[in-house]
Amino acid sequence: MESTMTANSTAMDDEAIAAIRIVERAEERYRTRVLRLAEDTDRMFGWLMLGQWAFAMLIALVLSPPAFSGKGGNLSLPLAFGFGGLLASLPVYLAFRQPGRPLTRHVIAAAQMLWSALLIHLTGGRIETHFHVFGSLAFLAFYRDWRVLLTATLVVATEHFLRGIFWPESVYGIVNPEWWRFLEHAFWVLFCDAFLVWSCVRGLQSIRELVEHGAQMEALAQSAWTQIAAFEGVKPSAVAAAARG
Amino acid sequence: MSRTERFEQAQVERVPGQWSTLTPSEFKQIPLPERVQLLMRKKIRFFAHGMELKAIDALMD
Repeated sequence: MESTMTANSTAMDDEAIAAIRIVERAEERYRTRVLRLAEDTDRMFGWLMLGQWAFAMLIALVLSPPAFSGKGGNLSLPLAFGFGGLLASLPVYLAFRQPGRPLTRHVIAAAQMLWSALLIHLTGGRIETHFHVFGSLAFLAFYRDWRVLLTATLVVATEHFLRGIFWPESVYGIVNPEWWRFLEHAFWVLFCDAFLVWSCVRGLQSIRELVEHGAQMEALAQSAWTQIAAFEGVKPSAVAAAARG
Repeated sequence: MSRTERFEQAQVERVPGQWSTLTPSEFKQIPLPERVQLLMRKKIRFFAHGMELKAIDALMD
């Protein structure tokens, strides 16, 4: 009778430890999944930066001169090559050498918005090119980190504000836009952000739910081992080891 | 003394906003899958001498 009680008490203690171990493993799995997601997204942006660089040079060759009617058009190719190369260099380095770090994705977010700025400039402030901003925000949401969207929004709003003052034609395609035009653009960016932030939060919740489900399965298996161990009068770890073969 | 009695009481939030207090022996009766769920969702707190303990300190040597 006493030995059965001792065995039950030991089983309870083992369950307490098992609960902590299962939670630790689950938290580790969660961190690993989120890190892998960030690393994959960093690499995707690394390639995208290089693609955008080539695309910017193509636009500079094909589209930029007529869009600017000669004003700055002749500088488009050097700008696309030089500034584009500069813009791609740090994000590409970080994406392939230090993927997964928070700094990497914030640098990428800022650079991606500046890529939008460069492409808008190269197309003479065409409104259609502003869609690059929204596409980029959607790509940045792949990180499932809403703070990255905040960085991107701050950069694009500041860039629109400054360029709207100093070279409005380059960003809006007209010479005399209202001073508050950048606020209108920022509003639509925030509108887009609202849904993307929500999707980031939901995305992380989904990963957590998956990991939690795995932990539940592990706990159920552990419970079964504990019950078998209590019945057999041995330590659950011995039953678990036997079960694993 | 059992290793699980490093805490004097545990508080569990099974219904949102409602924390119920459990003794160590009552805590032991919670099935492992539910314990894991409570720990992962941070719906369980452990106390000793009026101070909150980390779960790892409360449950492990």
